[in-house]
Amino acid sequence: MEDDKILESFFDGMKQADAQRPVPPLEKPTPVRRLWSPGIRYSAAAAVTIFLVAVLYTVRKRAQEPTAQTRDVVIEVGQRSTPTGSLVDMPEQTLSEWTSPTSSLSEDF
Amino acid sequence: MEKHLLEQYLADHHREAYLWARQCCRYDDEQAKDVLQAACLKIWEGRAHYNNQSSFRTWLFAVIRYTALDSLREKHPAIVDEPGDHLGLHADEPPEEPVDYEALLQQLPARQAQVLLLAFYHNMTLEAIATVMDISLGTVRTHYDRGKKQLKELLSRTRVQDHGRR
Repeated sequence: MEDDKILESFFDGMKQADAQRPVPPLEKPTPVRRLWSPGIRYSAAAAVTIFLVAVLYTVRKRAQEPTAQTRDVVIEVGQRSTPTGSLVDMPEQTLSEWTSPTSSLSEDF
Repeated sequence: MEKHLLEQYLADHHREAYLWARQCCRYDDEQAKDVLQAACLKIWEGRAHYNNQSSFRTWLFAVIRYTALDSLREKHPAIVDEPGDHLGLHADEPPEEPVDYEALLQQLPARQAQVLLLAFYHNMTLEAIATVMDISLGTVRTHYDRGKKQLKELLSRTRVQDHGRR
């Protein structure tokens, strides 16, 4: 008890010192005004999440579907052209009209 | 609790709430103002809810203590548990003033100092202190007894020095 008296007088002295201490006035806190209430904000966030999940689901589902049927490929086969096709017009000659291109050489000889 | 009642209670306990905030903030006036403002805002916005399980004063002191602890952790990340445990003066360093209450209390471990302040300065019961500090009654008793013993030693040492100077 004697010991507590010492401590009591210590804290009484502290209280007296604090009695002269200025205390700042109580300022009424001004809550931050928000455009939407928390309920609306949570609902909006939930709606956006649901929408994104739905979009993701749709995209994945479409990706898993079989791809569109391939179109028929039509291959047209035509008459084969001559491999040595030439644009030079070769006049047809009969055997009686034919002259040897080297006949002049034999004549000279 | 209705807003006007809350406002009334806060106004009634404003002075001692400020002094308690200051004691939780290692006697830093500016920080105490910020802490008190933040605690009031928490209460005002409903982030700290009074559930009638203790007196309003006890609950308010607990809110202030937690807010001060958060504030001190922001400023000094080294603080893990209690303000003052790592930053207080050492017991070997006596205060310069003959009776410097704050410096003397800062030489005690923070929890012991807070328990003594709540008991002797704010006249709270040990049960109420346990609620404010969020610790068991047995732990409060331990801090209370050890704190008293240490503070008495510090006071006797201060007196011896005081007589020595004269």
